[in-house]
Formats: sequence, C-alpha cells, structure tokens
Amino acid sequence: MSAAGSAHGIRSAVALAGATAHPDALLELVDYPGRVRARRMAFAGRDLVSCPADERRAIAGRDIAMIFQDPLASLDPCYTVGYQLDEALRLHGNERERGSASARRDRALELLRHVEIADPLARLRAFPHQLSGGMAQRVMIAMAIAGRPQLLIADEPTTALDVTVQAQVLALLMRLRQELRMAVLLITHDLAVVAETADRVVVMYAGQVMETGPVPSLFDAPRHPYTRALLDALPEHNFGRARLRTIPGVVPGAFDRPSGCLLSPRCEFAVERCVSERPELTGDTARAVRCHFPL
Amino acid sequence: MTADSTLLEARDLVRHYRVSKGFLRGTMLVRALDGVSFDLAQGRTLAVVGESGCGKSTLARQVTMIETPTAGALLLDGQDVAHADRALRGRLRPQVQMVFQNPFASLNPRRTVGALLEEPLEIHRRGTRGERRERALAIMHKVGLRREHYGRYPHMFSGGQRQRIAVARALMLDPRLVVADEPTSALDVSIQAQVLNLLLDLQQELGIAYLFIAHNLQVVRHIADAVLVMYLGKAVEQGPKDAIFARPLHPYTQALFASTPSLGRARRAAAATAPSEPPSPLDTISGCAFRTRCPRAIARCAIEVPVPATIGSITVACHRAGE
Repeated sequence: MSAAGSAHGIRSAVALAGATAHPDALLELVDYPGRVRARRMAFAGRDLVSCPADERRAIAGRDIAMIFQDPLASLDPCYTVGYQLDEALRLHGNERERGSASARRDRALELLRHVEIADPLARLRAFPHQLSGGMAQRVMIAMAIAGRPQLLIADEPTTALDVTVQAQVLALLMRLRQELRMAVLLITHDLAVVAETADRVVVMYAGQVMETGPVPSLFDAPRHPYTRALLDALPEHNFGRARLRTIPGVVPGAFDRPSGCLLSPRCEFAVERCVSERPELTGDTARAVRCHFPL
Repeated sequence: MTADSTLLEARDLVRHYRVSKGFLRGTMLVRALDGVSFDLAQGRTLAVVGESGCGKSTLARQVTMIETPTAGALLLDGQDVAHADRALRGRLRPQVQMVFQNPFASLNPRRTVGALLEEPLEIHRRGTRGERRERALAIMHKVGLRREHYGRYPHMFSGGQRQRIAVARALMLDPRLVVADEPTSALDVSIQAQVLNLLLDLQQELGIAYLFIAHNLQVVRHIADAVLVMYLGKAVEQGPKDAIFARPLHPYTQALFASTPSLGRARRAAAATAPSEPPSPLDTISGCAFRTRCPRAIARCAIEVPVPATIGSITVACHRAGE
C-alpha cells in the first residue's frame, strides 16, 4: 500500500472501497519480508511508525481493534466463546477486569448482551462450531470492543453473511459506533454497503488512494474515472441494459505496475500524459482526487 | 434462442438427509428440499435466492445428478432424471454442467488450463487428443482467454480469469443447462460485471439455460428471467422477474429486498428487515416455516402449512399474501 493517509474524527465511519485495499499496515499484521513505511501514520496524535514497538503493541488490539471477513476462521475452534472473551479482557480490559475473573465474566456477559446475542449465559459455554456465521461475527465484535477501542477496523465484515444477517450486523456496527463513540474503518468492495453506512469513503486502486470524499457527494458526482467506472459496473446502474458496463482488463500485479497512472491501461480517458506521468493526490482532506484530468 | 420449450421441470422435488444427533442418540431427518416445483425453459435463466440452509445447494446437487432425490420428479427434456438407470444418467449428465462459487477452490492447482478443460472430454471419451485440444482452444477463445493461456496453471490467473476458466470447463461438453452456484459473489464489482456479461453473451450465442443460485438481488435482477425464492427447503414465492421485483408478495421476499443494500437509499431502515437469523434446517416448525420471523404472522400460520396459490403471474405460499 502506498500513501493512504487521512485524518478522521471520532465517531465517523470511513469506508475503504476498491480492489486491493490493505488495512493490515495499521495493526502491524504485515508479515516478513513486508515492512510498513510511511512518512507518518498517526493514531490519536501518536505516530505509529516511529514510536517504540511496545508502545505500538499496547495500542494494537486495545485502542485499535479489528474484525475480519470470515468470523468462524477468526475464532479458535478449540476454546469456548467464554474463554476467548476472557482472554481478550485479560489482555485489553480495564484494571479491574485484568485483575478479577468474576469481573471479566460479568463484562463478557454484558458484551454479549451488547452485541444482541440471545441467551448469553449459554453462549459463553459454546464452541465456535456451534455458532452461525452471523452469531460468530457478533462474538468477534464483542471481543473487539472488549478493550473499549477508539477505532474499529472492519475488514469485509459481512461479505460471508446472508443479506438479512448482513443488514443486522451493519445496523449493530452503526449502533455501537454511536454508543461507544468509536470511529469505524470499514473495508469493503460493496459500494451499496458504503452508501448506507459510511460518512466518508476512500476509493483505492492497486495500493493507491484514487479518490476520497464525503459519501453522498462522492457517489453523486465521482471525479475519478475509476470511481465512476466502479459505480457504472453495478447492476443497479444498468437497468434496462442488456450488458453491464465494465472496466476492461484486470488490476495490475505487484510487479507489473504501470509507470504512469496506475489506472491508465484500463482507463477510457487515458492520454499520453497519463501513461508517462503518475498523478498526485490533489485537493484537501475533505475531497481529493488522483487524476490529471478529473471528471 | 428457442422460445419457451421446457428444458427442466421439477415436480414436488424432495430430498431428505438422515443425520446423526450425536453418539448413541439416534438419527433425525433433515428436510433439505421439501416439495419444490418449477419449470425452466430452454435458453432462459431461473434465479434461486434464499439464505444459507434454505436448500439452494441441495437443489443444485439434484439437478446436476450428483445425488438422487428422495421423492418427486425431475425431468430434463421430458426424461426423468430422478429414476433414470445408469445408462440414461450417463447420457443426461453431460447436458448439465456446473460453475462453482469460488474459482480458487474449484480448479485443481496442479493441472494446466488445457488439462482442466480437456478432462470432461476424456471422461466421456470424446474425440482424439488433437480434437480435444482444438475444442479447448475454441472454448477458451469464446470465454475471452488467449491461446497462450493453454499451458498455464490456475495460480497464474486472477479471480475473474479463473472464473472464465471454470465457465469454459462447464461448456466443454456442450451442455444445455448450466447450474451456476453464486458464480460472482467471490469477485470484485468490476470483475463481477465482466463475468455476468460473459454469461449473458454465452446464453445468447449458445442458447444455454441457467439455474442461477445467488443471494445478490441486484445481480438477479440483471440476469434472471424468473425468480424462485426458497426458505427452509420450500419454494415460498416464484414468478417472472419483473412481477416479483415490482411487487413481492411473500413477507420473506419483502424482507430480502429490504435487507439488500442499495446505493439509492441513504440510511438503513432497520425495522423493515427480517429479525433474527434463519432457523437451523434441523428445527421443526409447525405451520409456515417463516412465521417465527414474520412480521405479519397470525394464529393460523402456526397451525396450517400455507399452500402455494397463484396471484397474477406469481405463485406464493403465504396465508396473508392475498390480502
């Protein structure tokens, strides 16, 4: 990922949309030989790139929590829900919770109730395989909010779920965002989900931010050809049309990035300058676009 | 495209599974498919929608002749697939092919594209080695793969390209029906559009019928001619796409529509969606199976199983649909 930086206030939901968006950099989940390099990656004023590793470790998982696409793969099949919640609280709970098992148990029950799980007492003893996908994602959310995070990163949290359950989980996330006053970074390729949940959106392509802006206006008037092409490819925008409009070609691989604009081989508006010169992200923090010839 | 001659016909299709309740606790019956009927015309697309556990994949396994239905009739071109003998099944099977959801799992990583495509022909002992190669290259051209892809391995392709390979393999035996199980749900938006276009082009050109299993209703709206909505092994509503999208009659269909995210809608109206999660297929619910989640359920719904009734062009199984 190159240069995806932006400040966003508490209690807002920002969505990262597009092909190959990588949130892992924020949480130090990048495997060797990968390395995070950034001019600055600040969380609540502290630069996560330059600060010592143990300071960073204290933030990751507690102040910044994350949930993943496949909840049943994220939970450990060998331990009960209660054990795994307890573990999260032992590591990330407040002082009282870290010191007392009964406090942790009370909090675990409260967390399960908070994420609207019926019969929480019985669920504490359940193993992950006894949960449905939607229930497992709720447990993941409960574990994530155990440390009272200021930022929750949700990486395709509903992609593996049915539409009805997706609607419930999204509604839950939006409610928790309000109640717990935390920011949500939602990573998804479903633009309709973005439209319904996010305040701001960052459109990424091949590791670069292509466009960013507030949700209704960015969707109503996209300025980057990639954003527009993504919106045009939705069946919802092709009523009465026999064929869907598409973006020709595929996302470039890690080793064959074009030297000019990353989108240039697939962009219908590309001219000589797009092939030779890579555009910068221009605009302000509210609305920015990376294109020589914005729409 | 040939007009409206029925290719596939299902009448009260039933598939039950016996599952163990645990060590020494005996077994119980799961009604994965509990009396489903539908028609699919040649060159048309029937979309099957519903939540997980509703029997979509069980239906696909019956239609592709991977399993034999417990009861009911399944007619392909008027010939009963359910009770076919070995020889007839052998003749019918190549006519129904399948495209799976995840092209990262459905292609053998150790075989080249060429070998993957020619395997169906080898199994059915068709053509010489040279002819099989010709056929593979011809189909690759049709789905938008290049000649040089012939010797490559699946890991060298992106998700969209892999799904093209999977579609190409399904076409190798000249099928008349392709069962597509969520073929685009593992793909990005722009790639999804490419694959949907490909499926539509192939249908135009070859007159293939699709049984299209999906949960994305926007995709269904684009690709289907008719829609079959399933809930816990039963067809709760079915009819022409336009009629169902204009005015869904079953509360479950309405809930599915309300849950589907849309660009046009700014914020989610949480009240309109179906509460809680689908019950397990292991549970037995008296009367209408949807009543436990239905906002319009009345006393009658708990007692009496609703019988499918025709309202306009839609067939719907709900006591309150006619109101």
